[in-house]
Amino acid sequence: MADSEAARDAFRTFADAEIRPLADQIDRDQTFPETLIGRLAAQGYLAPWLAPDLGGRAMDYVTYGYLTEAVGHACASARSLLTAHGMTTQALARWGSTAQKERIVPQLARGEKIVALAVSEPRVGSDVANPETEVRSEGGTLVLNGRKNWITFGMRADLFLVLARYDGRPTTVLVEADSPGLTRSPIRDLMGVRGAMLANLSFDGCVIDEAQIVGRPGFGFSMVINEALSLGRYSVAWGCVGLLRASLDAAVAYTATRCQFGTEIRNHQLVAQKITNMMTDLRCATLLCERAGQLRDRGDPEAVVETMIAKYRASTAATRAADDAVQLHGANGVSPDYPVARFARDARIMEIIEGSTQVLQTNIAGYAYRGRLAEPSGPPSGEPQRGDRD
Amino acid sequence: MHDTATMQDTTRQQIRAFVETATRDASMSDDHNFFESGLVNSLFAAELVAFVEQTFGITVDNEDLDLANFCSVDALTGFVARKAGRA
Repeated sequence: MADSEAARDAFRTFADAEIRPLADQIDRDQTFPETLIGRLAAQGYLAPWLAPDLGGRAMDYVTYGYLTEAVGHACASARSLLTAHGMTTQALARWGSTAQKERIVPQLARGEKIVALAVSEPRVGSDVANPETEVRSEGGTLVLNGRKNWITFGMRADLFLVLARYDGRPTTVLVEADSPGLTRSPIRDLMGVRGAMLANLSFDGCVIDEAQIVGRPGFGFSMVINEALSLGRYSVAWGCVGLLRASLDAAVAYTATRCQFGTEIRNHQLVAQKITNMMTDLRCATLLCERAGQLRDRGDPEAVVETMIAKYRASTAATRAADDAVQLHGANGVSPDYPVARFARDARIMEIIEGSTQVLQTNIAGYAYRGRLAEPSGPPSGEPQRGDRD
Repeated sequence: MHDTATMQDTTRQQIRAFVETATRDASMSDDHNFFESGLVNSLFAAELVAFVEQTFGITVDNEDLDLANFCSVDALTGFVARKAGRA
């Protein structure tokens, strides 16, 4: 634990020095600096939980959570890179072929290539298990056709892990960004996390090889994508804790110096109420994330639901905290001179990605009925969902 | 031989307890295909893999990904025994 806490301090020092000063510019420019990708890679932060032979640092998941929190506190777009690249790398490391693991995963861990997850489609959002994108055998050649939307870091990625149907079964394939037949177009002016370089992808007769299939056909969603989403949800949960802390820090700093009615506004009881709510939400979300991380570290199946609970609680709390931080700043809160407006825009995205609030509510409620065999029926447990952005 | 049979019984009981909790169905037979019957969703599949890996100390590999290994209590019991080298 002492090692984890020392690591947490080091992550915060790095993020405050190297990432936070760039956050406003990343938000304004809607692009992510290559130099920052290089710095994150040089620190070994892109996939640190991987074993050293795959290019990682064998970091435990609680410590990885502290890293994600520190980066999320500094810049939601940088956290988004860790999430999107990290979760896709994890899916490849877990279910990729030996060749994919040996050749590609170390490149991803070192940041030599950036990978993105391509799941959502124009007509497929939360119902991700049923993609319309399809791999077909045409004259002995496998051809990929379809559209993917909301692909985080899609404009930057060198590789895509694409969920498609193959012989009617959910299957994942790894596609190089420069493959003939693949085109991508940028999505700009989103509400938040604007530096995440989102793209729409179009696969038109994109020829692929059997060796590009990841995992066994038919298990592309239940195993490969779920592996990615599980880590992605955990990462987003910690990113929300970072955003929550950023909102609290900003609110405390502002209310301690801003004077109205002859005193600092921190002395007004309704202000104190908001600060108290932020503070207790931060403690609660942190503890839930730590518990989810401990379960992940043990390989415990309970990690699935505990991560959902952590993400649900942290993301809804982050939205509240950022909204309160804006309110406490008054007119300054909606100006570009203070970061809290960005926090509020970024926080709103967090309730949509990696399982929307409503999908998580449905799933968590389903778990509440587990083991209670005497009850005649419960709410539908639903399918694991992820929201409308990758 | 006796030890192997006892071990398989214990394995079966552990699997059955996990599946019963998830499906809320204590009456299903050990050969009941809970994927085909729609009793579980694909989140459960990921949990099931984590469960057998953590509980029985085995690693589920790519080539093990076959519904025939995971679809019922019988199938899982046999799969765990094979992975553990007991069958």
